[in-house]
This record gives sequence, C-alpha cells and structure tokens, in this order.
Amino acid sequence: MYSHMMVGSNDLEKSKTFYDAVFTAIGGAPGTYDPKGRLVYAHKGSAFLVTKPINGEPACISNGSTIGFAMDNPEQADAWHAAGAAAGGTEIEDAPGVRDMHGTKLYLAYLRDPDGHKLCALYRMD
Amino acid sequence: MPICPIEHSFFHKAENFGYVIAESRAPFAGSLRGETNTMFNHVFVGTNDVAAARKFYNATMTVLGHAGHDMPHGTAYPSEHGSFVVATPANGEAATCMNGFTFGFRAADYDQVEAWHAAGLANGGTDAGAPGFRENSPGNMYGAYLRDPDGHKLCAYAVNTGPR
Repeated sequence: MYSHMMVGSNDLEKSKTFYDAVFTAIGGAPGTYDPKGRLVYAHKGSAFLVTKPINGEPACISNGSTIGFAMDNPEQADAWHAAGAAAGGTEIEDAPGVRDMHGTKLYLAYLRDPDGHKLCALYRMD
Repeated sequence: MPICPIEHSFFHKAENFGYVIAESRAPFAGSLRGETNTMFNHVFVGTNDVAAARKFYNATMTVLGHAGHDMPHGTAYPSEHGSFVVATPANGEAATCMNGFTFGFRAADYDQVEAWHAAGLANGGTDAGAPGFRENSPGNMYGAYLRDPDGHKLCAYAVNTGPR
C-alpha cells in the first residue's frame, strides 16, 4: 500500500539518534542523509524519511496521526520500544504487550519520537 | 504549535480498537503475521469531517484498488500490505496537521497516478503537485501530490517505466 512516509523534524540529529536506534533494533540499518538533507531509512521495500519542513516553518505534531510499523514477532516490538525509549523517545499508552481486540490478539508497543510524533509497532498474534 | 496531550487514547483502548477490527474483517489493518515484507503496518490520520474525508479517500483509494469500510468515527482501508484509517482523533480534540508529514501510496502505473490525482481534486482535495517525474524520488518515479480535505499532504507514486 505504502511507498513511503515522511515526517517533519525540528532537530534531525535527535531524530537520527532515535530512528537509528529503533531501526537497527528491528534488523534495519541506520539512516543516511540524501542530497536534500533528508534522513532516509529504507526497510522492507519502503522508505521512512525525516525532514525539516520544506516551507521553512517549524515541524509540528498532528493530533490524530499514528504511524504503525510492522514487526516480525513480539520480541521485535519489545526491542523497538526499548531502543526508542533509550534514544530520546517518550513512552506512551500502555507498556508493550498483547491486546485482545474482540478475539484478535495484537502485540502493540507505542512511543512518541523526539518531535512528539506518535508511533506504534504491531505484530498480529493469531 | 498544537500538541496532543493525551497519553492513553480512547481509540486505542481495546474495546474501541476492537470495534475497528471487527468492522474491517478482511486482513485487518495490515495486521501482518509472521515475518513481514512491508515496513508499515498502518497509518492513522485525523479528520474533523468524517463525511468529507470518506468522500475524498473512497474516491482516491478506489483508484489504487482499496475499498473503504465505514465506521462511526471514520473509514478504514485494509489490505494485505498495510492499512489506512482516517478518523476523528481519539482524544476528542480537533485533528491537526503535521508540518513536514507526507504519506505516499503505491500506484501501479502512470495512469493510476493521474487518475488518483484527478479523483482527489474532484472529491474535495486540493492540488499539491501535478503528476510528473520527480527527480528527488529514488529512480525518478512518476508521482502526484494532493492535500486531503483536512490538509494532510499525500502522494501516489509509480515506478519509472520509461517516458510518459
């Protein structure tokens, strides 16, 4: 469905510390800067980018937005969460764990990145 | 700048999220089991007008082959390779836009990119970039940009397969 996601940041170095940590925790690679100064993470056929907004105005948080990353197993979600929390992320929602959603079991972990964007790591158990 | 104060969102409490799961029975929300072949499981964006968002996304997502599932507070577009949900924010506050945020959908070919863009313009979206080759994209892909009725910036891209 998705080719890529791009989020705004007011401090790319802090973003890099955080996203390098979460991506390497799930078997991905640290990010690289492209010629436009955007931080790029290529993983499983898609790209996640972090950028200073091109209109020159500050990045801000979107109320209602969440970006959900697919995990291969619950351990990966735990690793993602621990790495992010230790690298400038903020823990939010419940601790990582199984949510039984009307019979569908999901393993979920949540963090806010250093700019405050809400992120989720998800693995479907059944 | 608007800041979301909520830490435990209504929408993500099990019983409410469960409603979304139950209502979109097809491989929900890109809930991808086992080793995944995709980075993104899902994206949620906020809307302040469920009907306007539904009109826009039903039109544009249909072009890309994704059907919508209506919910009381929004619309879900599930697929095997990820899902998209546009709904009123769980904390009851207004949806706001993130400056710097763009989400990009895959299109099959140039025709789909153009049809997606046209469908968006005809259904409440605004132009944020006409279809064309984008040098800043890997492999000079063919893409187009829109803003949805809430102002979120989105795009659709097809792989470069030669001149238009």
